[in-house]
Amino acid sequence: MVISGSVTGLAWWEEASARLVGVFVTVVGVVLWIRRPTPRMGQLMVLCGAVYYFQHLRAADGILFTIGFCLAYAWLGVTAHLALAWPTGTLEGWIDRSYVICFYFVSTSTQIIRYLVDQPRPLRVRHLAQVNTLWAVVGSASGAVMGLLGIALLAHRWVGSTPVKRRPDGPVWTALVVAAAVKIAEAMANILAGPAALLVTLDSLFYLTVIVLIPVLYLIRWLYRKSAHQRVVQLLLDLERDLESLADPAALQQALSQTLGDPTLTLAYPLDSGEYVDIHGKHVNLENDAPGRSVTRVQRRGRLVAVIDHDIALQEQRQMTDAAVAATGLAMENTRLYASMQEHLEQIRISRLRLAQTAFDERQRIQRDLHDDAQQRFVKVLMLLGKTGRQLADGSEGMPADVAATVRDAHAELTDAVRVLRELTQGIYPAVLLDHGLAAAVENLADRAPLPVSVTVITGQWSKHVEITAYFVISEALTNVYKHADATRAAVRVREENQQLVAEITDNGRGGAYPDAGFGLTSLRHRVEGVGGRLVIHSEPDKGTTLVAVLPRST
Amino acid sequence: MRVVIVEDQGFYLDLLTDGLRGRGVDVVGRADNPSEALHVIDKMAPDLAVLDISLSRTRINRVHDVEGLQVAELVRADYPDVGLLMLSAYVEPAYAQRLLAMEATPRAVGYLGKEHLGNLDELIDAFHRIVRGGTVIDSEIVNQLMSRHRVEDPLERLTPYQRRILRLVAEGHSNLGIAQRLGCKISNVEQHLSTIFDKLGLSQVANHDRRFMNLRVLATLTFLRSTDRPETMGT
Repeated sequence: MVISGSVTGLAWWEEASARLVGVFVTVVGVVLWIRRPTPRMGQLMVLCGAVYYFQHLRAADGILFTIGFCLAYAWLGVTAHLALAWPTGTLEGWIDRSYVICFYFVSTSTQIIRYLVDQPRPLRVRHLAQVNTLWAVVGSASGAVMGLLGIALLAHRWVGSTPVKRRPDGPVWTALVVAAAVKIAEAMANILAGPAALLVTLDSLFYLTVIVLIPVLYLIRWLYRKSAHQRVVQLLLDLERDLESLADPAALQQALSQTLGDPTLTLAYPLDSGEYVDIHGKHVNLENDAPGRSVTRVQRRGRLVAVIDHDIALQEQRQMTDAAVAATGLAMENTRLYASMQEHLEQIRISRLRLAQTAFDERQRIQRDLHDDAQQRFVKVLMLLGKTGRQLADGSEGMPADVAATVRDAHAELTDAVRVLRELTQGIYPAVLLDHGLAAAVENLADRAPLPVSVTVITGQWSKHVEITAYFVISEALTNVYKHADATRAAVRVREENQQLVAEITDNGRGGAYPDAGFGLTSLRHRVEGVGGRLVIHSEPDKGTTLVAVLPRST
Repeated sequence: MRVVIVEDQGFYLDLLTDGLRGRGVDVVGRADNPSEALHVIDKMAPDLAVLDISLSRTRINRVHDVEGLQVAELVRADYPDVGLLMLSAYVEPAYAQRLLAMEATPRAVGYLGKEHLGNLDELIDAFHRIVRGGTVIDSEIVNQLMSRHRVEDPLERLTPYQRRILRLVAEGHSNLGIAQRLGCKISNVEQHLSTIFDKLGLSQVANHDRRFMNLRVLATLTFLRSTDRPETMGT
């Protein structure tokens, strides 16, 4: 700039744009470099800004002039490099790479030839006293051709890209085409030896275009991001407002697709088998990397909840994609939690119903036992007493002996009734369990068993509720053994394991008992699960049955 | 015979008092709760205390209801000469074992189900046996234990006659008592007892010392109650 400072006779904007454009590009480059998303783009821009000022060395003498002259248009090569490397900073494919190498070569080689052939002298004023030599025309023409080729490449890209990519990249490509068009026009004017004023104007117009377009592009990008953020926020608000509507995978996929602006986006859910299904439950293959596609995994609490197959262009708006994915993960987690809570509530409702039913069944059994046995005995005693009354009223011969016999019968009958009642109440609730614990109560069960039952109870620090549940489980399990197992012996083992009571009831019967096949195992399971425990049954045919109930220490 | 009755249910308390007095038993005191029971026994120094095992039926929170057993244990510790008879709606081997194990040389205890109130003659007979220092265990308990199913039942090694003798031992009868019941000589009973003790490996059963009658009952009950060795269920 200092070197080219002596130039006069130009409008202020022509002067300023030509001098400032390099600084401007360099500053933007530094910003991009520092603000991570595309550091390579930033580096290229800084390079471009620096190389740009080589042409001003033409105002110097000696070796500086030589360098300045030879590399005067090298910046065009860097610019083409930049244009095609957008937005990642790297060139994809051999066409782009060859094109950029070609451009570097053309932009420098024509100048070197010019330097050697035309023997130019240092310039003090731009575009003045420019002799339009053959090699100058060749240089301008090749530059124009390269420019047109570049436009063609960009157009090809536009045609071949997805809407997702077009949206953020379109304005950039347009700007590049506009700038290239101005530069080509300038080259054409040079070739045709247009008036100096036109050349200077076109030259300055190019710089101005660059200076104006870069902030405009930034503005467009900012607005685009802003609207993207708003869409993510909207997604979050939708989730907040109406979680259930997004519980439907199709609705969720659509919301995500709209938010990220990718109509090709699809959701897939992992199965336990490691395969994936889409929102319609059809198997999809996500393993092979399709060109232009990318797969994002949605994880919650270290668990893979879904994968999103989307346009690879979404990678360029990583932050927004991440936010939307996080929101989706949240939604999926929430819907899962919601569903599991609903399921849990349903289970609780069912188990409450079952407990109510169990209690009702119990009452029915007690009613039947009282009615069938105790009551009959009492009625019999009543009849015997009635008979005594009649015998006393009759006052016939031999009365004392008859009366004594009847009273003796009544006595015996009542004694039996008392015994029956006692057994009945023991069955309803064994007092010994309360006073002497599970071991004594289970011993009692063994005492009354119709087949040999060995009992091993290791006493632990269990709450009464746990002991009561364990007692009833053992009692019912043994009843099942007597009724169904066809066993000749049984064993009860109670031990403590990991703060849990483990009750194991084994028999040597015919086995083949399953919870769903009746045998009262279902109600047993309900009882165990009702206190948060679990019941496991091993029952292979002809190998006996082992029933294991695991109950948490406190319920 | 001076008797104190401890029973929390007024109905049983009155019934028993009236019944016993009608048979000439001297009911010198009554109580319906543990502290009153201890007080009355302390004051009256009876020959026998008849206690209900459960003394808090009327309370709402019936959590641990063996207060009668606890009173019995306190009385036994302070006044070893007072005979103790537990009367309960429940006949539980566990309670019997706890009663019999009360002290090193326990004596004069009984445990009967409440249905024995229906036969006062039997009940008073039990009173006498206890007051004389004997042991009385409800035949129901012995039945329950004797009829327990076992994989290898050691009782099968006994003759029915020997099983009958063992049953009487478990119910607390002395050798003389057994001889009287079976209508045989006491030496005959002793002979059978040593056979039983050989067959079952029960050393205390053969102890003829009346002071250790409880121990021999306890040993018998414990033997009858012992579970089968845990064994594999394979067929």
